[in-house]
Amino acid sequence: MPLTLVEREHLLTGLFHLCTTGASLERMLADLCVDVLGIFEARAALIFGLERDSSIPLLAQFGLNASEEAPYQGQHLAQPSPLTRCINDGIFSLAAEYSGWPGIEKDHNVVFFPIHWRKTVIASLVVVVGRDLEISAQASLWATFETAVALLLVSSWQPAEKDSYAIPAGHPKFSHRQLHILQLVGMGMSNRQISKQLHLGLSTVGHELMAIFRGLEVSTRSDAVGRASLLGLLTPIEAPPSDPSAS
Amino acid sequence: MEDTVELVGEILEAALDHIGTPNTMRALSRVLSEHYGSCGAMLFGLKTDGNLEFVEGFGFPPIFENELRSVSLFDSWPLTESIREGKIIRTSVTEALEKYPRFSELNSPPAVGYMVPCYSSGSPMGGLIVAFFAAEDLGQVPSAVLQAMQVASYHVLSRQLGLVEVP
Repeated sequence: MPLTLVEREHLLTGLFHLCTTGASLERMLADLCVDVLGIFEARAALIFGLERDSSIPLLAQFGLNASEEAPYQGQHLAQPSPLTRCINDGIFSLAAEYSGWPGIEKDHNVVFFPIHWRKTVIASLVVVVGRDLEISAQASLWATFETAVALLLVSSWQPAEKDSYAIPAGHPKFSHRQLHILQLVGMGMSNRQISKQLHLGLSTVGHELMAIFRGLEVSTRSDAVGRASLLGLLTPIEAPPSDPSAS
Repeated sequence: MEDTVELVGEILEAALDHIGTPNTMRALSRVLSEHYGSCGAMLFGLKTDGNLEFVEGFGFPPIFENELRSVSLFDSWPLTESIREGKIIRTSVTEALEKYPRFSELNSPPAVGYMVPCYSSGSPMGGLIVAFFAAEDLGQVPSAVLQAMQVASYHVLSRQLGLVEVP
């Protein structure tokens, strides 16, 4: 069914509203599914980052349960997948049964949006919808959609003022290893670089980082660094002699 | 509608390209100028003391910036009215001179101005003046275009130190 003028206006209005709510990534995806893409029967949305080491971490998702979410973790640009195709070739839509991803109803489509900033792909948005988005027929609409999502992501990833971070109630407790990882994240290191620097497995770094995110109540590396800075967690630390992870 | 969507895309793209720089209003003005003729944009944040603070602007005579630099939210100006009422207001020179006598103090008022309030989760955070200097017969600028300007302004304002939302 072709997109009507009213539906196009509804989509734009929803997008404008979404762009000015300043919500977390998870909340943004929820609003995206319900308010903006509700007319397309959106069921789920996922945001993947693109790290300097070419890993593609799942940053946030809405609509999948914990067991369904697991297979989306640990993707990499070197591994051919619909996600890497989107990052390399641009927006495209795939019938769910061909996506190879679990947890998606077979009569749905999975649409992959590359999110650009300053001519570089910085992330990928994946939405699961029950209705055709008419990507070719509505090219300018979806290009505008991509730009709006990019604006949202850039704003949440790179807040200019540290003061804009809300400090969570009570200081979170972190292990020495987690504090060390936080500092290296603050220096701009990727998970792979951190894993080499600290002689830890890549998955261990990922798990520790997730624990740090939970402790700080953030969902992005930039937010973690900003909030940790406010809490005074990024000052150089001395390794306690009894801490085996310091060696 | 197709043209509007493309223009909205250009506005958001300009905002995205210039976010974090002091040139966002210049970039946005240039996009609008290509479609509607000579245009300027001036962005103000709302401080906790209830005064507007000039944040960034392009294309306006300096007298505008100076005059509006210390305007209170409760003063009688089109922009403050727009922020107080939470709606976009369109004014022509004639209307502005009638309704806002202080406009006569300005040497070269724009032909048509749009006052665009900026809100964050329901709270006012400032406002944007989009002015067209070329002609009065500009017609209506589509609301989607002004909303895109609103989005761009929101992202500029949300990055400004000291500009907090008024509860």
